[in-house]
Parts: sequence; structure tokens; C-alpha cells
Amino acid sequence: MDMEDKLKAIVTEAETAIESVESSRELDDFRVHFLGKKGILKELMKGMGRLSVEERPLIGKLGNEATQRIESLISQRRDWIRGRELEDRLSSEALDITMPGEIFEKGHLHPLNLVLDEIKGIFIGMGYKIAEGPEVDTVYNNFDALNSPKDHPSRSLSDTFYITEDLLLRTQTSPVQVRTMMANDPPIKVISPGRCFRYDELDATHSPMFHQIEGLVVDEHITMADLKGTLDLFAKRLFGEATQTKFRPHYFPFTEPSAEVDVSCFKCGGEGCRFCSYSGWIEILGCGMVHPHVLEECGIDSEKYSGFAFGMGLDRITMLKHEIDDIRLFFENDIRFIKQF
Amino acid sequence: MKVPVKWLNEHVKIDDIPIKTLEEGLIMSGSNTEGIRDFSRDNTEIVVGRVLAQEKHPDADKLFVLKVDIGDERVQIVTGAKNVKVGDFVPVARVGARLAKGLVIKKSKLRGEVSEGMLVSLDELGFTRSVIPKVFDDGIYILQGSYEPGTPFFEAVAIGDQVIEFEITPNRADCLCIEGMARETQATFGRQRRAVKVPQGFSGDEVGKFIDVSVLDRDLCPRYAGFVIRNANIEPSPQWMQVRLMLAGVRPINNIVDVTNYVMLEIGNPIHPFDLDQVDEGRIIVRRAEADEVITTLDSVKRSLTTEDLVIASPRRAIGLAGIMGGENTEITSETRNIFVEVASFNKTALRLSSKSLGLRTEASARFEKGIDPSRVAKAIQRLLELYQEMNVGELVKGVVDVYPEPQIQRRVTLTRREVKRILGIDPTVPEMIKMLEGLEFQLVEGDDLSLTVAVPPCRLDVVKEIDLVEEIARIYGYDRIPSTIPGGTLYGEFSPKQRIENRVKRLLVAKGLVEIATYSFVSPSTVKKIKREKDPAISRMVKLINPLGEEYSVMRTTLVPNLLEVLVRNHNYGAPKMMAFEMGNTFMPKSLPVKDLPDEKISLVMGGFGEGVGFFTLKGLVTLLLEDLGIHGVRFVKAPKIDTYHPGRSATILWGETSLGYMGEFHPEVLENFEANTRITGVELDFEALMAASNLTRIYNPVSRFPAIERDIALLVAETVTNEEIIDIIEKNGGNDLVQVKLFDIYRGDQIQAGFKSVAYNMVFRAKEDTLTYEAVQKPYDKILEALEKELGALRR
Repeated sequence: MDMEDKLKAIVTEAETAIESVESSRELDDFRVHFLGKKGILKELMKGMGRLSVEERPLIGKLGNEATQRIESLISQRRDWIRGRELEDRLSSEALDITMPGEIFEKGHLHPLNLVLDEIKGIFIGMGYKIAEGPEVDTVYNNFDALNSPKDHPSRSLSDTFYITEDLLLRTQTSPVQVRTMMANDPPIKVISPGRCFRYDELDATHSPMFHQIEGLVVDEHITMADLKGTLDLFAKRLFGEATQTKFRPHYFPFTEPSAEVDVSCFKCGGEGCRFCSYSGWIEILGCGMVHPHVLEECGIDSEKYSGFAFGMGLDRITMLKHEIDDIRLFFENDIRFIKQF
Repeated sequence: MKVPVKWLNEHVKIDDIPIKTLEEGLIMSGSNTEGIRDFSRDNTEIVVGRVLAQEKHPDADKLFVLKVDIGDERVQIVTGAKNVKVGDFVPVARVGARLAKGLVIKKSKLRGEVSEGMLVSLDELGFTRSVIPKVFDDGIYILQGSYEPGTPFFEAVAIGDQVIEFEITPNRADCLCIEGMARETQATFGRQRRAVKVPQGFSGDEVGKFIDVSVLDRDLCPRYAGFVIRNANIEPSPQWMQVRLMLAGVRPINNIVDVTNYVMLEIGNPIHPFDLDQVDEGRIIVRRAEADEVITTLDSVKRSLTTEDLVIASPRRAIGLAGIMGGENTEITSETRNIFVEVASFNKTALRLSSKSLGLRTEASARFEKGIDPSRVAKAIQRLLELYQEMNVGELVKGVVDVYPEPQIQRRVTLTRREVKRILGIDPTVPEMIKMLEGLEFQLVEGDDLSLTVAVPPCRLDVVKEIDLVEEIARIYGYDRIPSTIPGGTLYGEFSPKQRIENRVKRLLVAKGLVEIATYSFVSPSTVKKIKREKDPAISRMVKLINPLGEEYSVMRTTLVPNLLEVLVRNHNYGAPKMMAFEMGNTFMPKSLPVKDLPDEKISLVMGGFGEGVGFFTLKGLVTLLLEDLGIHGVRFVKAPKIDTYHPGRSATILWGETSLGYMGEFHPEVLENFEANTRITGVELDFEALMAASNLTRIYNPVSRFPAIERDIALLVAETVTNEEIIDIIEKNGGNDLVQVKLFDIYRGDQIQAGFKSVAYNMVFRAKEDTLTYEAVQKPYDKILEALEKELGALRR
């Protein structure tokens, strides 16, 4: 066989042998065998010296082509081996993904504050600030300034907790509205959330301490239509876009006209269920136009300015929203309860 | 306020309006309801039966066997009722009838005798016992008059009615009567109310021969009127009236009393009849009670009075508590012949206080204390006379006594369109508004395009100012027709800086696994004592409630620690293996004791926990993280002055400069014992106001070095008494500018270490801002640190 045939034979051998190369190590061996310093190609090419001057460039070219061919075989095989090795690794590393995940612990806000945060967010988005005031306040701020009759039963020792004759635990967050109006000129736009206290024995639906959120807007040209629009928007944001509101006339000493607001039941959509006593409506808010006596008492010109106020029970809303059937759960602080929110 | 619909229909035609529409319409115009009670109950299986025969049951002493004609058949019925006689007309539930309480009547045998139906009592017809006439209390209802046997019972008597129960708001005492609700119905549905008939031929002055009235305390009794009935026959009132009273929730008693109650329900003015023969000299004096004067009221209770109580008296004795309850000594009995019927008006505030101090609240006092106009006294008298005349109760003496020195003045109020638009956002025309107000019986005095003036009906004591008329317009116009708009303006919403810090702290603590709790602002003094801080005036001086619900809620909290401990212990007892909790809330510090001014309310933050991996250093780490997050740097944890709340060896004061931010530590074993805790608990109390004052949320970028750091460790043998802080101080002082971090990473005590010593290891990181450090470059500070540690603390390198 001449050199040319031998070269061809080597390439053919390589083309056959490569098929049985299975690993990177075998591939290295393959390379050494064919292309190594003492590999068969080099050994063959050492015989170049014996060739004629005419043959040399031809055989040299053929030798280079053989080398390139074998290198390309190696490179293709390397890619193949890598692919297979990666596949092997991946399949050998497969996890039982049904095993449990690591347990990360997070804390929990109290459910009352979760709902409160949601409500605050809605009103901040509507341009309200959050006003705060003391839990112990004056009889004047809690009752007198709010147009409450001097002999009203809600002022009695069996309805309100007193510290002295003039100081009490606020029964509503309205004294914060009084403080806000006394300290600021209109325009005013605030909500005042907070703890309130009434002389109620603790049972599943009553607590001597509970939470209210009240709102107050005072400006020129504030109308009952604004009150309706505001609370309707609020109800839709809190309970869902489909929520309807119904304003029923009512009486509060500090607003006139006054209303109670029902929202269409957000549990059943108004069809009637146990949460709405099968009426389709849930009473959720009290509201009205701030009584001119209250504005005047707080130093605001009631002929120039008008305003609306509203109030709702945070505990009740939270209970309805989360289907909590006992108000005591809020104050027992059982971790198994709080963790659910 | 229970309103039988047929009664209402006598005053304003509504029988063409479906009951639900009626209810909904009245709710939307301001008379909320508590529901509809239906006594008509489409039940033809209860019929009028006539008792034909009555025999004793052969085998049972207490039972009777009756033959009853029920129209289409004659049936045998076994009954235990003793009040039934042959000839009586009685309600019979036929076989198959369903009674108010769900009982279904079946044919049965009672001790061998067949019973084909049942005689029913008022109780079984759905009335509460408190309204059933005493004579029928334990027995069968016996009808007055005669009926065709077999007539459906609810048709035969006026019981077949629906009753709407209204929830009347306290400002609307005028609605506490049928007439008032008829007025509301008229305005709501645009109907015309029927006027009360005025009886004829009653004027005269003969009444003066029998009765003389003097009112001594006119401020408490603006009007006192009445008339006299002579030779009265006291008997049951007619059946229709009894039924009406029962439907409205009042028990029938006798003809005289029932009419007074009937007119009270219809017109709204309470009325009281006296046995005139028991009123000595026929003289009535309205006066304040004398101190300790005694009266026995109709409920047979002997009551001792004060000068704040108003009495109706005869010259020698009190005969009634004005507007509250009559005296037993002048009660109408079956023997009564001559009667004085009182129709009066009393001061609402005085009456409320009197009723409250006596602990006696009646249907009459409940009405008077809400405020009743004296004008309606005359109307009530007319109605009484009409009914007494119709029922022929006795001889009605001509004439009326009426002490009414200052007649009520009818108020006038002006309303402008501008104000309606300004407050309600609607713009009805003046004629439209006049129509709405006239429906409510306001009388137009004058009006033009822009405003109107009306005379207020005397019963509307709540309408005084323009805003009151605006409200009337709003509710008759219909709240649901007022449009919905959103107020404009330039105000923007945001949290205050304080609120932002509160939110930030809460979010951080929740992210780190703490649970937020909420506990009462009032606490028990004995629970506060359990944390052993009596000597700290900030804790032990507390604001007390005058009227707490009990000891456990009797003082305002000065610390949140006791509540936190209670919550943690409770959860531990429930089986929680581990818990970390926090509360942020007000504490109440009196400015002086006894309390005169508003207390200082300061926000406090407490955190605490128990369980595996929750100890002093957990909480210390948490506090450190929290303070760093608030930009409060350089805080030191210093051995606490002796506070008995905490373990003396495991507690610290948290100092920022010279300012104390709070305390922390493992709770003292005795404190834990006081709370019956079976686990170690660690807690932190922080003065949130101090935290806010110290906080700095401004962040300025500090360039990050791009050069690599060199780390060196150092292991030392030091005496047990040497603290981590001492070592770190020395390392930091001697480490030069490039030392950026020092950290304790190991402590070892054990066999290889001699007693009284510990092995500690620190990791130090050196990094230059402008250069790559070499191992050799940090050797110098390293040696200096070691030397200083050896010299100052006697530390040995290991």
C-alpha cells in the first residue's frame, strides 16, 4: 500500500473507531492513538522523507486533510459525549420533589390591622390623611361638642367608662374629628381609626374594647351626594366592584341628615345567605352631613363650609370578611388564630 | 313600635299596597323596621266552634269530653280546659291544622276517648304570654258574641292581621303612635290621612262639680287635663279592641284601662285613669314629692321618693307617680264606679331622671321621656270620649278640666333652595318641596322661587332649624335618588412620619417571624403587680376607671409587659412549642394623682418569646436589627440596674448615648412563676417615642471598596470575667483604619481549658479603600491588637 492508501485506511479506521468511544477518557485515548506525538498518523508521516519531491506536497496535503478529518471526528464526538454525560448527570441528580420543602417562618399582622391597613390604603388613595387622638378623652370632645344631649343615656355610667366626671374612655373615634376641626381650618379630609370603649360585658358579639374607623371631610361645597359617592367607591374597593350600597335615613346627634349604609352581601352577592340573614344586605356604616352645631362648636363657619362624616366598626367588618364568629378571638391572641391571616 | 296594618289602614288607606312595598317604602323614608309578624297565616284549619255538650272524662279527673259544632260536622274533642262552658264559641284546630309553634293536630285517643281536634289558647295562636288577658292565661280563648260555626277563626276575629315592628329613632317620639306612622305613610306614599272624628255634644262645665286640679310645679307639668266618668260598668273591653291591643303588644285588662292604652297607642299620649272615689275631696294636686314620701305603685311595690320626683296627689296622699305609674290606692277595680281620666304632659328630662332613680320604666315613662308635645292632649281626650261613648262605659260628665297656662307656640322655619342644594347636592323647586313638606303636615306660611316658610306640626319637636327641614326634604325626596359624586380639592393622602415608622417596624418584625397581638388598654392592677415593678412610679401610678367592668379591667395600662406575658403563657399552655410576639400600643401615664387632666398617652413596643432558639441573644439580635433599620447606630446593651422583672444576670438596659430606649432580658423566675409559666420567656420593652426621636431614615451612599479584603482570625484564652465588649473595644481601638469588621465566632470551655477561663475566637476583616492589602500589611495592626489584649486583659494567644 502506498502512503495515500495508508492515510485513507487510517481515516477509515478512525471513522469506525470513533463510534465506540463512549467517554472523555476514551476520547483522549483515541486522540493519542491517532493524532498523538507517537500516534499512527505521525508515525506514518515520518515516512514522508522517503517520498519523491513531487509526491511530498500531495501527501502532505492529504496528511493534513486526514488530521483535520480526525480532529473534526473528535470534536463532534466530544459534543456528543458532553451531551450524554450531562444527561447522565441530570438523571442521576433527579430529586424526589414530593419530599417536603424547607420550613420558613414568617410572622403575621393581627387580622384587625390587616383589614385596617387595607382600609387606610383605600382612603389614602382617595386623598385622606390619618388622624389620631387619645383613647382617654374629655366628656366635651366625646359628647358635648358632638351635639349629644346632656341627659342622653349613652353618657351614663352603665354605657360609658369614666376616669373622672370630665374624662372618659372615648366611646367612638369622633372626638378625633372634633380635635382635627379645632386644630385645622378646612379643607379637612381625614380618617381616624382607633380603639373605643363601651360598657359591654364580653361575649361572642360584644367587647368592652372595640375598634372604629371614622372619616371626616369639611370644605366648601361638600354635599350628601359627595358622601354617597365616596362611600360607594369605598365599598366597591373594599368588597369588590360588584358591591351595591343602600343609604337608609337614620338619626345621629352629630350629623343631619344621617344615614345607615347597607352594602350588598359580599358573601352571596345579594342573593341571601347566613351572613346577611338572608336579606342580601349587610349594614356596615353610619354616616351623615356634619351637623351645623358641631361645625360651629369646633370653630368652623357652618354657612361657608359643609362636611360629611362616617363611621364603621373594624371588628365587625373583619369578622364578616374572614367569617370569624366570635369577637373574643381578636383579644385572646391565640397564635393558631392569628397565623391564619 | 308594633303597628297592626289594619289599624294603620283606618288612618290612611294602604290596603292596596303590598306589605313588602309598604315596609320598604317606610324604611327608605326613615322608619326602619325589625320585621313583619304575620298573624293571619292563611290557615283555614282553625275555625270557630260552638260547644254543644261538656262531660267529665270517664277515666281522667282533669279532662273533659266536649261535643263541638265546627260547621260541616260535629266532633268530639277531649280537653283539659276548665274555662269552657256549653254554648261558648271557641277557636278549634281541626285535624290537620298547624299551630304557631309547629304542632300539627292529629286524630287521637286520650285515655280511651277519641279526640278529633283541639281547642286552642292564645299562646298557641302565637301571642306572647305577657299580652294575653289574665282570664285566658291558662285556658282557651273564648270569643265574644256569636258566630256561624265553621267560620275561619282569623276571619271571624280581627286577629287576622300583619304587624310591622318599627325601630323608631330617639329623635322621632312623634312616630311612637299609629297616627304618627300614618303621617309618615301619607308623606311616603302621597296618600291623604283620615281625620279623627270629633264627638258631639260634649261641651259643658259640669266636670267642675266632681274634680278640681291644681298644678304646683308647672315647669314639670306644662299641661294637665282630664274628664270624669260616673257610674261606670267595669267589664272586659270589646273583642276587637282586645285583639288590637294584643297585636300591638299590650295586655287587655278592662274597658276603662284598655281605652286609655288604645288611645295611647293611637295618639301617642300616655293616659291614666284614677278611681275618683279614692281621690279625697275630688282634688288633684300635681306637686313634687316630699323627701322620703312613700307610695305603693300599681305593681304593689312600695317606693320611697325624693323631691326630684313628681307626684299626682290628693290632699292627704300621693296617688300616682306622674307619667310613670299610678298608685295602688286609686287603681280601677271591678268595684270602681266613678273615674277621673288623666291626660297630661310632663317634662321629659325630669321624668327620665325620676324613672331612672326609681328603677321604674313603663310604657308611659318611655314615651314621656322622649318628648311629647302638649298639643296632642286635646286630641287624645277627643278620641277617649269617642271610644267611651261608643262602648257605653258609663255616664260621661260634660266638660274637661285643662290646666294649660302656656300653650305651645307653633314654630316657623324657613328653608332656602340654596341650602338644600348646598347640603344635599340636589335642586328641587320650591313647589316640589312644599308638596313634600305638606305630606308631613307642615303648613306653608309663605314661599317664593327661592325659599319657603312653614309652620311646624306641634308634634315635631325635633324640627327647629333649617337643617332639620333639609333632612325632611332628603328623606322624602329619597336618599336613593340623590346622585353619587366624589369631592374634588387639592388635598393629598399620606401617612405621617410617625405612622410610617410604625408601619416600618411592624413590617420588619413580621418579616422576622413575630406575631402581632392586640390586648386591652385596661388591665388588672393585680396582673401588673406580677411583673414586680411597684417601685417604679412610671409603672405603679395608674389611671383608674370609676366604673370598670371588674377588677380585671379597672386601670389603664402603664406597660404592655403583663399582657404580653399573659398571651405568651396562654399560648404555651395551649401547646405552642415556640412563639415570638409583639404589640405596639398606648400606655397611660397620669399627670397627677388623683387624675385631673388627660393622661399622657405614650406608645410602647413590647416583644417577647419562648421556645427552642428563643433566648436573650435572639431578642438582642432582633433589637439590634430593628434599631439599625431605623438608623439608630451605636446602641449599647448595658447591665441593667436592678429591675425585678428580669433575671439579674440575663438582662440589659438599651442605651443610645445617654438615652435609655428600654429594657430587655429573660423574665425573672419569680415573675414567670407569678404568671404560672412553665417555660423561660424573654422579652423587650421599648419606649417607642424615644425610638422615633432617635430614628434617622436618611440614607447616604457609602462607596463600596473594590479591593479585596484580608481576613485574620485570633484565638485567645481569657478569664471568664472578661466580656466580649471589652475585647472588641480593644481590637477596634488597635486595629487601624483598615479594620472594617470584628466578629466573635467561637467560645469554648472544656477539658483543655483551665477552670475560670474560656477560649474565644474572633474573625477580623481588613480592607483598604484605595489599595489591595497584603497579608504582611495587616500583620502590624494584628500584632498591636494582640499586644494590647495581652497587656490590658491578660489574654493569651492560643
